[in-house]
Formats: sequence, C-alpha cells, structure tokens
Amino acid sequence: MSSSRPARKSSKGDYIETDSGNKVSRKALITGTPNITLAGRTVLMPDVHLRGDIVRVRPPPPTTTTSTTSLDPSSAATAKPSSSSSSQSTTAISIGKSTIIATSTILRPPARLLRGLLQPYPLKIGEQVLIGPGCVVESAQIHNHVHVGARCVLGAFSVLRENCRVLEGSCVPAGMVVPPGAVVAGRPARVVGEVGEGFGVDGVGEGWVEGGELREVVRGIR
Amino acid sequence: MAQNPLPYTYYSCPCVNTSAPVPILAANRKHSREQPPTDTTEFDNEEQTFDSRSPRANLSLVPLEHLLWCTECHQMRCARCVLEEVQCWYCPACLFEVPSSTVRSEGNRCTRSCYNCPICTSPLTINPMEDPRQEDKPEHATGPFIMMCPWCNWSSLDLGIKLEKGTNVTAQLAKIRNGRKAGKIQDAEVTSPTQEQPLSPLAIQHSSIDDAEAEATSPRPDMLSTDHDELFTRLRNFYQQQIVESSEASMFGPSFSSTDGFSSPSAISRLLNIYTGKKTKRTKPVPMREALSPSEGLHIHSPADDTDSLTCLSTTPWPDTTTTAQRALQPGDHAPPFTSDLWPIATLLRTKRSKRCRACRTLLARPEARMNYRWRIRTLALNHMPKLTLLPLATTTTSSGGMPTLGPDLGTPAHIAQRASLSAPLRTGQTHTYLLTTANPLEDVLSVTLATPPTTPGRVGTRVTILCPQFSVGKNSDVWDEALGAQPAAASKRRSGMPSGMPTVGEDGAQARVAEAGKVWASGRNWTSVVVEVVPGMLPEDASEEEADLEIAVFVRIEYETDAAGEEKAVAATAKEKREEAFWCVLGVGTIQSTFA
Ligand SMILES: [Zn+2]
Ligand SMILES: [Zn+2]
Ligand SMILES: [Zn+2]
Ligand SMILES: [Zn+2]
Repeated sequence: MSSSRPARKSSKGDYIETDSGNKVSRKALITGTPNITLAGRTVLMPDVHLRGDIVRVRPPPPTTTTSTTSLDPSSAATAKPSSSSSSQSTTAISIGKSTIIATSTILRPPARLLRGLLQPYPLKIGEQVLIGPGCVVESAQIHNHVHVGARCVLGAFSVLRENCRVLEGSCVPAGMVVPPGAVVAGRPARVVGEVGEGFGVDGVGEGWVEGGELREVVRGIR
Repeated sequence: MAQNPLPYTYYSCPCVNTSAPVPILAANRKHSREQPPTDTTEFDNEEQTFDSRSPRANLSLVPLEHLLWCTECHQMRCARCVLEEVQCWYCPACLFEVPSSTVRSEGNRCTRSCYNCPICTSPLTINPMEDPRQEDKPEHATGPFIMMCPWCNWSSLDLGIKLEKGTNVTAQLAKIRNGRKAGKIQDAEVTSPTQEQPLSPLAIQHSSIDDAEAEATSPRPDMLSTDHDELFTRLRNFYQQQIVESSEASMFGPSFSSTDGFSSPSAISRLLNIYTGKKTKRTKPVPMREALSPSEGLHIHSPADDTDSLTCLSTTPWPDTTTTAQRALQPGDHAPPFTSDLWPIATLLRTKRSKRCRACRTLLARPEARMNYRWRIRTLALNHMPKLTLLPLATTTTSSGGMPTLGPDLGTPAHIAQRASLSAPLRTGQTHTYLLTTANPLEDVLSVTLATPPTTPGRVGTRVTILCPQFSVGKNSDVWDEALGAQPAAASKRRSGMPSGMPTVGEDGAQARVAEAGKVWASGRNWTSVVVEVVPGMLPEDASEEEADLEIAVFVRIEYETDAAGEEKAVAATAKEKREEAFWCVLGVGTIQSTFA
C-alpha cells in the first residue's frame, strides 16, 4: 500500500485500519505491497489475494523512452497506459475510495505476451465498487459504482464501465468492454439488459442499494 | 419468478388495467384486445384483489428502481407506459457514438472493427498472426492479422481469413466476402440461360417452373442458393417491374397508383374521364404475378440440397453443427448448418434513450449525450413512493437502531448464514414471521394503510396477517435537520412505538419480544416496520414450481399533506394540500416445501 501508511494497529479486531480509513483484513494475502495503492476507506476482506507482485520488470537503462505500450487494446476505452518511463513507482493494482473487495477474491493484474515476454499491465478499480466474494479479477479497469456479484471471473483486460452490473456467477471474457449501465450475465457473459434508471439511488437515505454509495457498508465492517 | 433473488418487491404499475397503456390509439386498442371482458374489469371493482400470477399482472410488476415518476400525472411509469426516444446509438465494444444517419444507411451494427465470435458471442480480438518477438517495434506489427476468440479459441483462420491490417476490419471482411461471392456468381452467370420471355403469366407458368426445376437440379448447387444479395436484387427488380406493369394496366382503375403522380398520362386520362362523365368499361386490373424464372429471382428449393446436407450431417460430429442461436445471429439469411461456415458477427449497436410519459409527454428521463452513465433529467419513482421490504424477522439485524435492511453479500460466515436463512424453505402449517418495512422518501409524514387478502389466491391458500396494517411513517428530513434539533420528534415517535433502544433481533432478545397486533414493531427517522405472519398452505401433490413460490400481494395506500408551495410559489407556503396514492405491490417471500418431499 501507499508508503504513507504507518499501520496503526487497532490491537483487537480482524481488520487493520490505516490513517486514510482503509480496512485491510489480517487474513488478506497481499504480495508486492509497494505496487498497490488504496485510495482510502477501501476494504480488503479476509482471504482476499492481491497480486501486487505481478508488475512489469523494468527494462535495462538503454531503452528508456516510451513506445512500450501502444498495443494495449484497452487504451481506447480506458486511460492511457500508465506504466510510462517514470521508473520509480510502478503500480500493479490501484483501488479507489470506498471500494470493497469481498471475501476470497483474487485481484491479478492482466498480462500479455509482448516480444516473447509476458508483460503485465496495471489493474485499476474505481470508487464505490463492490466486488463480490470468490471472484477472480484480471480486468484492465473497473469504473466507479460497478457491482460485481459473487463468484464471477473478469477476464484479462476486460473493462467494466461505470454503473454496470455483473450478475452472480458470470464469466466476462477477456478483452470485453461492458458498456455503462449494462447488466451482463452468463458464461461467456453477454449484455442481458440495462440497470434501472434508479440503479444506485438511495431514495430513503438508509442502508445500501446496489451500485450506490458504499460508505455505510464500509463503516459497518469491523 | 423462482429465479429472483429473495427478497424482492415488485410494484404494480397502474397501466396493468389497460392493454394499451394510457391513450395511444384508442382504435387499436379495441381490435387488439382478445382478453375476456372479466380481465379488463379486474380492478374496476374495488373488492377485487390482485393476483400476482395472473398473466396480465405479470406485465406490470416492476422493481422500484426501474420505475419512473411523472410529476404531472402523479403516477409511476413503467417501461410500458413511457415513450422512448433514441438519443444516440453507440457500439458497446468500442464505445463510439454512431450518427443516426449512418445507422440508417449502414444498419445497426458497428462498422469499425468490432466483431463477436460466431460460436460463443464473445468479443473477438484482432492479433497479428505471429508475435513480433524480434526487436522491431511492436506497434508497427505487420500483418497478416487474424480475429480470435479469447473464450472458445475460434479464429478467422477457421474460415481461411487473414486480414492485411488490424484496423477497419469491416471493409476488409466485406471485400473478402464479396470476392468469394463474385467467384460463385461468375460461375453462375456463365451457365445460366438468361431468359426474358414476354409471355402471358398463365402460359409461362408451367413451362418455366419446369425450367427452373431443371436448372436448380443441374449440378450448380452454389448458384443462387447461397447468394442472398443477388437473389434479393433480382426479386426487387422483378417486383418493381410488376408494379409498373400493373399500374399501367389499371390506368382506368379505381384509384391512383402510388407510383405514378398526378402528371402521369394514366392519371390525366382518368381525370378527364371523371369530368366528362363518360363511363369507360373498367379494365380488370391485371393481377401481379410471382417470379417465374431464376432471372426474376425465383429460387426453387432442390431436394438434392437436402440430401447433400443430410449425408454431410450424418458424417459430421454433433459439435460441428450449428445451434439455432448461432444460426439466428448470422447476418442475412446465411444460416449454415456447420460451424465451419459461420461468419463473425459485427457487434450490434446499443442506444441511449430518453423517456416521456405516455399520457402527458412530460420528459421523465434524459441521459447525458456523452458516453457515460449520467442523467440530465431523471424523475424516479423511488423518490416519490415508499419503499417496501420484507425480511424474515429472525435474520434482520437492527442492532444499531437503523432500518432493517439486507446488506450486500460479502461472503463472510454471517452473510452466508443470512443468505441460507433467506432461501430456507417454508413449511406448511408453520407460522413464519416477517418484518415489513416501509421507508419514506418524501419530506412529509405518511399515513400508511396496508391490506392483503387473508389467504393467497390459488390452490395453496397461504394465510397472511399483517399485524399492524395502519401506521405512520416519519418524514425523510435532512439528516442535518435531525441532528440540529428535530431529534425530539424522532425520539417521541420511537417511544410511542415501542420500548426505547432498538431490540437486537435474531439474537437472544428475539424470543423475549412477542409481536402484538396493532403495534408497530420498530420505527426510525423515516421508516416503520410491522410484523407479518405467514402460514403456508398445503401444496397440492401436482403443484407447479410457480405455485410453490410464495408471493404476497399487498395493497398500499398512502396519505400525506404536502406544501402546495412546492408546486407553485405563488401560493402561500402555509397552504397544505392533501394527497392520496394507492398501488399494489408484490412481495417475494420464499419457496414452500412440499410436505411429501
Ligand atoms: Zn406502466
Ligand atoms: Zn465498435
Ligand atoms: Zn468464441
Ligand atoms: Zn404524465
């Protein structure tokens, strides 16, 4: 996690809470910690596995400049390829605010063969995202307010646009772009519908609704 | 409805009463109706209750988040009673917006490089055939490229297709396809006798069908049968010719043909006839005939084709034959029986739509023009109607005094147990207690009246009792208002309802509290929970799955007083307006377990 975290151990409890409000289960398995950023109020539940160690091996000094990653197919839909030449910090996984990674989910940065080498790319998850228990995530990017049901597989370099919903047990094929506000399901996943206009809107201001704010849920986890 | 995750609440849109929701075409409505009259008057009679299983009800049961709200009609609006206007078309794969003019000319598929696997529908990726592992720059990877399915490993090599470039696949594919077709057509044109016989329809009929049959059975199986486009142009030309001929024939006919204008000779002579009053003998309009030769677009199905494909089928393994779904997705009438002939499917475009009330045309929802999920206008029913949730009393945890809700499934042991208890079967004859929570999104106090038939309709006859059918629900005041001083109101409410301090239900305290008739179980700032007792009835031995699923229909009536000022600023702020709304909703409870099992 980000270097500014002096793990303030809350002597008791299953979670370690950081200054920025991240809650990391003591039972979560995190590898490659320096390559992972959590934005704050992010929850990593028990048995979550973050593969921060899957990160691009820095090329030797001579080949410094750009030209590394324009084959990235996701670049059209996602942000620019982030692993530019600034060689100090490499990000393997970044997770936004109030995002919950539920029990036993594995986050693994996607990789592809490039010049005979398996080259990893960063995995980015936005804010207020809920990834259900028992998922395997290899997406390139998951945008804000996405709801992923339990036991889903999000294939390599898939992109989940904002407010989309992946129903329980779906397998999103590699490279698929799920459009904003779509409901996908099945193996392989296809768009099966659209979320209601009220998706994520909490009219009564109590509790939790799918696709909505997760702050309260995060607060409840301890 | 068995597949719906429990618990669910569906709201019945008032348009359930009308077959054509709200006035669209009154005339149409009369003719399109085939329902027995009793069905229409289902709700005209106030005594009638709502049967969630009736085929008609099913059309209008919608989850709250899918309902819009018309501020003019003061009514919810479901997908049936809104008018949709396409605001933009876009490709779900490359997220490029497609101008509607392009959609009109090119069709509703992405014309860039987005394709789906013909076998499994996954999006195809376009890769260079060989990984350029040499040191040259990978972004200038030179072809050939192939389309590959990351899911089932189908590749365009199965069709023998290699692409020169990795971009603009549609044009390349069309070229390849036309090239292949051209080969076939040339073959066909060389041998096909182009017969243009100006014979009368009757005379030609028999002879030319024989000709066509002879032609079709002749050893050119791929001639017209495979070429849909060619067949179509020939047919179109033929029918255009027919229209011209028949309109010429009917020059003294009773009406103007659509193809000739007022200036055509036929029209003028007809007009002259009308004015001179001469009754010419009406020539009987020559009926349009059908295509009679392959050059006119006739395609005779040859039995030889069938036997060919049958022999082929008998030697082809089952997985190599196409499924109905795969054939249906193929473009045009290209419906090959074997997977080796399946063509990649261009990605279907999707739309962003704005929605209007069908009755008054008020704009209810309008998405932003850009490729995101934002709304410029959106009036949601969930901001105007109470939200009802039914949860088993035993599983609700209201330890913090908050509204009983079901959180997300996070996979912890507690969550797993909770989900298990939600889907636990209901036993015949046992009393199951539920908590029905009504939450108020409005800024006015609601007085709520709930009603439900004492036994559910149908053969099972589950007994349902709402212990406290009349109660009030606090207003959805700003959280800050409450914090700054509205506290006493909430506190007093809580006191009146029940002993202060929320009970921790589901733990040891649960047994201590007994639900009393006429008393609210729990309430909070803008919600009230009442207990519902459910005694599942006896399942008949031949009960269907649907009968085993227990749903409760509840009639909800709300009354409240609101500031008239909210509507018109001119009216004094003190003026209160009384409002009343009523609707049916259906609560999913669970599955009754057959006592015989
Ligand atoms: Zn409706
Ligand atoms: Zn596209
Ligand atoms: Zn496939
Ligand atoms: Zn209206």
